[in-house]
Amino acid sequence: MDPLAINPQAKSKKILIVEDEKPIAELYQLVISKAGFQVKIAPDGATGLQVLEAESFDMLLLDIMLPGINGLELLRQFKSKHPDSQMIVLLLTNLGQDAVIKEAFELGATGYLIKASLTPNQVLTEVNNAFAGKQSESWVKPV
Amino acid sequence: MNPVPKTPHQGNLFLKIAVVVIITNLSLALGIIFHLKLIFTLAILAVTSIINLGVIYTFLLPLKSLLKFTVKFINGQTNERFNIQTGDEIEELALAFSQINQNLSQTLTKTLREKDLLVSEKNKLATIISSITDGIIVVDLHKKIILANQSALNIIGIPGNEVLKQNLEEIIKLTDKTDRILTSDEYCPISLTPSDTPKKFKPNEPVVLTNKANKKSQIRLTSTSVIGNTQADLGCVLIFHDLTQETALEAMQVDFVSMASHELRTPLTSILGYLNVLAEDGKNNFTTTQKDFVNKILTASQQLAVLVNNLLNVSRVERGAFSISSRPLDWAKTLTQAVDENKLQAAQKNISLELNLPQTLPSVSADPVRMMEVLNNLISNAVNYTPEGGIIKIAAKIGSNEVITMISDNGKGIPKEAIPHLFTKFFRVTYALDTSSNSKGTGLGLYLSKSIVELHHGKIWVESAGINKGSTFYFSLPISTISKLPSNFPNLNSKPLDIPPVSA
Repeated sequence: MDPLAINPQAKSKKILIVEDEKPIAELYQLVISKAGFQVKIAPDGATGLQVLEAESFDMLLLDIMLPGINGLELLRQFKSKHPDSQMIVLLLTNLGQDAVIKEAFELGATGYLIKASLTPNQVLTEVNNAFAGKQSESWVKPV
Repeated sequence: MNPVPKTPHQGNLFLKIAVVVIITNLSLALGIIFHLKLIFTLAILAVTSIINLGVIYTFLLPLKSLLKFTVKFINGQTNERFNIQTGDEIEELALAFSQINQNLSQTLTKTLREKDLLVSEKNKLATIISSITDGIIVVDLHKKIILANQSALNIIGIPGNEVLKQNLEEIIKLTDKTDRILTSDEYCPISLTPSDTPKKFKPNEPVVLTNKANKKSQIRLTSTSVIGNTQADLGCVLIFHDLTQETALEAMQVDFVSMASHELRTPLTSILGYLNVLAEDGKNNFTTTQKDFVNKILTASQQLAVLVNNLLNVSRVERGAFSISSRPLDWAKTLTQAVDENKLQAAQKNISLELNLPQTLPSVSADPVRMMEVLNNLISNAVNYTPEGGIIKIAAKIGSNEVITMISDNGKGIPKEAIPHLFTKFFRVTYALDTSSNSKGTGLGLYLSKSIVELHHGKIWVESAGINKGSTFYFSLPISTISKLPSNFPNLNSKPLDIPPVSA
């Protein structure tokens, strides 16, 4: 599937990007919204939690190194409040330490992606893969 | 005596007188004799006494002082000369005694001086041994500890007096990296005949020492047998180099590299991301020159990303945290993809990439992401070290249970002396360090490639006839035992669609 093609189902899907690096957040927003998804950005963990409480999302693209509440803490707090949430959680980070990866999966992350090794279009592909219930070799294996 | 009157009877009287006179004289003579005898006896007595005194003065007194001197001499209280002038054998004896005494006292002084010297040498050696920061333990032929310096005691964690005479194995427990307990016969072989048991202990490999308090320390053990002189009763000398601090430092270094690569990745992500979008947008709008510029920035940024990734991977290898996820991998397809990915880079130097594959090539068991890293590394190395217009051939052949891949070039080649070091971390061939040759690299690529191939239970090696004679890199991968992928298995050979780089 061409990731750039507009996904007819995308219009109904809402994605929240929690990312403190503004250029990167906007880049992902640009590419992903081009494919038809509804994309919002939160620049830190606290804002992310507020936005998640205010409206529901189908997918969370979550960075880990965030000012204040970090990505893993955000996930822990969200999951403890909404243990039955069906929201897809893709960690999108440059942290590759095993302990972090392990913790992310224990907290219920759907997938773990290394930002630097993916082009924006590859990130879009992984978003599509995740909605289709598929994984690619870019997904970091649980340790 | 009265005078005798001259009477008729005078003749008789005279006789009488004569008799009386005679008698009187006789008794007088007898008295005289008696007196003479007494005098004589007294004289003899006096002479004898004089002789006795002479004997006492000439013999007994010198003998007594000789005896006194001998007693002093026995007690070691004298170093004086014994002086008797008797002019006889006693004087000679005294002289002989004096000589012996003098000789002995000289020898004694010399011995004492030597003893002091020995003691000071012994102290010097003891100070040197105790000040060595590595632990030193010496055992006798029965493997009883006869010496342990302070550093050794610190590692062992037991006071010195409790260590001496103890059996080595009772004091320390050594385990190798597989947690196998090392016997003292392995690291301290004492039998004079070579033992049949294979030596599993490798002197330079770190081992773990567990002391009696159950404290573990990582050490490097060097052991030397000092057998040969049974009188000395020496078994072997063990030297323990504590690696705990080094290990901690290495961990800090690895953590630093990990953090640094993360910090480098953040801006790189932005650069690469926007460049990709820019290249895509510019596909139809940019002039040829603009497309060329974007392409060059993109290539350089990608190289930077590879470097950062390599650094991170090395830190993973060092921590032993580098893992692979093997699966059946269509090797022909993977090789084709790798060649395609490197074609652009090769074309810039007018180098042709040729792929020669057998009709059928079985799938290998490998991690697709990691193997692509190996192929990209070997092919881009070949491109880097091959002059313009060169040829790079990529081929694969089937071996027993393995597929062997070859990447050969007709480039700069590798000097013979560099080949054994080629796959070690940070090693670079001398000409690669020459900045004028404009070849880039960190000396990590081949080290990582080797780590990756070995994690796949494969081998990697190189052949080169020498400088300017090209080189061929080989690596083997096990043939996958699963012939076909399960139908529900995600198609992992297909690379996610990417914005193709802008062509000039």
